[in-house]
Amino acid sequence: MAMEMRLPVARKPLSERLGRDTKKHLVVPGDTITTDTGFMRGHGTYMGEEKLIASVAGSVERVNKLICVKALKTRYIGEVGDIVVGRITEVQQKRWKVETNSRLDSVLLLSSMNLPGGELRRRSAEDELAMRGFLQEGDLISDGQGSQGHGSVAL
Amino acid sequence: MAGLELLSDQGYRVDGRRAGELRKIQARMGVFAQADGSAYIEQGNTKALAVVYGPHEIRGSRARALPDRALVNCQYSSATFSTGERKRRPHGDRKSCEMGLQLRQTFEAAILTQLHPRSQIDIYVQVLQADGGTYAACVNAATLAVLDAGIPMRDFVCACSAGFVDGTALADLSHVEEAAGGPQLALALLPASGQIALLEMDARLHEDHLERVLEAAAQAARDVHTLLDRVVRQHRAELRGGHRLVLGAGFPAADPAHLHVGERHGLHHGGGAVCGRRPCPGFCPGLRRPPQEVGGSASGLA
Repeated sequence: MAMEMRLPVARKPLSERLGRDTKKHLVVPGDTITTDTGFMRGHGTYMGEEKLIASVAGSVERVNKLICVKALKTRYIGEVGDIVVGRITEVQQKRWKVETNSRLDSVLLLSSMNLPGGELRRRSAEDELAMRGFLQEGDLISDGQGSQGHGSVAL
Repeated sequence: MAGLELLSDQGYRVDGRRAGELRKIQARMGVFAQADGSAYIEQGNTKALAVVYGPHEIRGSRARALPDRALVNCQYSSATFSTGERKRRPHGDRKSCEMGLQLRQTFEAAILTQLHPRSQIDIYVQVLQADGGTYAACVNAATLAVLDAGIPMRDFVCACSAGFVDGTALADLSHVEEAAGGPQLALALLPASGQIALLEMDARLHEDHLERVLEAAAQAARDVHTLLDRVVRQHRAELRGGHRLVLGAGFPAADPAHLHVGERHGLHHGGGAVCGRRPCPGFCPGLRRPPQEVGGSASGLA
């Protein structure tokens, strides 16, 4: 089992030896990124008093008119195409709730599950009742399709 | 009664500080790997530890979920060995509840809860050694922990206590000064805008003096902000420098590149733990996209 340990050695002061680091504009919450109102604000920023202010500690990224601040560490944020491993936490009507260490539990819909035998049909009431037969609380699953929905990931 | 002289004629306090001087502050972020965010702070002899989990799905009663913002849940606890006398403090006792409530009010003002509806953010603070200014130390530690967790906040929340002795406002009271019984207030400030997140006092103070004491506390809080800012930048510098070592059964030390790409493929541990490839190429070939480094082109999604 991997364990992370911090050893009590004297830390070398950071010199900006990596070229790409010197170009990074590092901000903390409360720092003004720009007073130019022409920019669109992305994640990690908010507008306050005519200024664009950072809301997380991270590096500023700019794509044309969009400014966002990428935090150093956040919970997992689902992207389309990611393969995730999750554990079932709840069996609800027509869907399962899966815990994937992200901001909200991910959702696995009954309709997105391939039925045994490969048949394509409308899910009926019997399928709903049989949900627990497929996946129960505590089961571990791995899924390869992801799409963002309203803060939670749909598997 | 020969009382303890809190402020000498030359203007020195019991521990040799000046009236507006803070105690020595040392802080570390990211002390627990398993929590989303964690921090440890020492303000003089007061030591506090804060741990943050979240935002995550609301556990327990679903009914408590707020449809438009996140629920902030704060718990304060004081170790039995934190004071001079070892004292067992049961979990639900009045002081802990009150402190928890004050911390919750403070952080609800600072955290941008509208960005995470229907989720919960847990902040647990524990005081390991109490030498005055415990509320302030808790707030400062919790601020660093929330920052470490990547939860969006309006600004730092910096707190400090202040008192009033012999016509002079003192900043950052120690236990001796607090126990002397004079008026004392605790202030939590958002330094960039100067907004007050929480102001608490339960003593009697003439209103003529309030201005001065408040100003002393506010200045001390701004000084704390300078220090915490430095701590955050140093922590970030350490992460980039890759001074972290991952130990385990035969795994090689983590490549610094891994620290950047952590959440993109959460399965992949340093050193080929999952796929067995050594040396670790830095990404799992099974993914359709190579990892994005911190500071690469913005994808538009945080």
